[in-house]
Amino acid sequence: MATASSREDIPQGTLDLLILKTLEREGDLHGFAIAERIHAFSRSVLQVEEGSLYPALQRMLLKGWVVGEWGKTAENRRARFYKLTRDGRKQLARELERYERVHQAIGRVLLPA
Amino acid sequence: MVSPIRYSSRRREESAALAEEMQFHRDQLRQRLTATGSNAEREARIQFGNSSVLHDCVSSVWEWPWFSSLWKDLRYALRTLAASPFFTAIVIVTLALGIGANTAIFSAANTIVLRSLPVADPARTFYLHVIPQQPARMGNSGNGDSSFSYSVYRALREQSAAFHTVAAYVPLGFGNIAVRTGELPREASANMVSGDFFSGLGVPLACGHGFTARDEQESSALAVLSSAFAAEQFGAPCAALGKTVFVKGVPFSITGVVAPQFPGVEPVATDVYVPLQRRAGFNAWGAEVKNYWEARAGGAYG
Repeated sequence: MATASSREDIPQGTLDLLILKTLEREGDLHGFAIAERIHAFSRSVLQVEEGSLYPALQRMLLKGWVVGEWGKTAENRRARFYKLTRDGRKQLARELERYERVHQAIGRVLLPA
Repeated sequence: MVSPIRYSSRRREESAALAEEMQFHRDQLRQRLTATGSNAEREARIQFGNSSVLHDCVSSVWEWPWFSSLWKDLRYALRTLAASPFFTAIVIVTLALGIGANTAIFSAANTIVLRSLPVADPARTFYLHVIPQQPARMGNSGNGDSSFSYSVYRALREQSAAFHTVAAYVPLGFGNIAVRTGELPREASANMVSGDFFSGLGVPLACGHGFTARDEQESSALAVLSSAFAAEQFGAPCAALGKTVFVKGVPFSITGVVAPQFPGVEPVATDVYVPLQRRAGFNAWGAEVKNYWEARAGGAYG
């Protein structure tokens, strides 16, 4: 586990992007698994807290980007599994494009001279 | 967005579902941490603000702020009122008295002032008055300034330029008089009316027909009853048609029944209508003077 100092806050507005991408890559996941995957893929830099994760998931449920279904985990425990919808995939493409644009723009500002 | 009606039940459902999800999340987290060696900070992270996190999560998403705060304010107001029951009781009694009094006065004003008599053309129907005061020899008249002798009534009717219809009514008593339909007599309110009373005013009838000018001239022994009186005496309003009603001992044949919404032209509802009569005993307001009416009628006819 990384120490507290190497953990960074997730930049504003990118949480949705991370969740959608994770679901696209990994298929159906429950809330805890989504947080774990993000943490793992970011090499323990990004830690998603409960208090941010579930509001984000609720918003995405309401907007129809994901659907939630109750199922059983490997240990036979009840959990809600989230799945990307077609609208969710479209939103993911939009968010990725936006992120790329912003990232490039920041890069140009930071380039030397 | 979620419709307000299903809002609170949806919100409760989601709350419960979320609580379960978060518990699962924490359990998984605890498992991971115990596996790698936990410390006080991690435990605190798990336990910190569980219920507040859940609450914030639900309310940040299920946002309908004005609605839920309205409900909260309402509940607070009711709690405060319940805390001082004596004051609340006084307020309720005051409101009840005020509302009750207003309703009663409005109902009275509604029937008397605002709602017109249910005749054909209420805007153009009037009671005629004499100004300034009761004419001579009009004693024994219940309506001082609006009673006319029969000759005056006839004269008014002939001047058809001013009025389309001049109808007359003569109460047979100051209150109720004796009428009988079956074995037992009872009291009822009765009027004598002119032949054009029903047709000229356009009084709505439930069944049968009203009087004609000929009925007035011949003083026919016909009667028209009110709906309520007919129903009371014969079971159903229209069952009265063809039956007999005895007014002051004289039989009259019932030819019509007035519709329930017409109460007559007196302050109290009229039960029985007969055409203007020239018999003894059928004086205006039941005056005791013998031949009172006959003298008047004789004068006009002569």
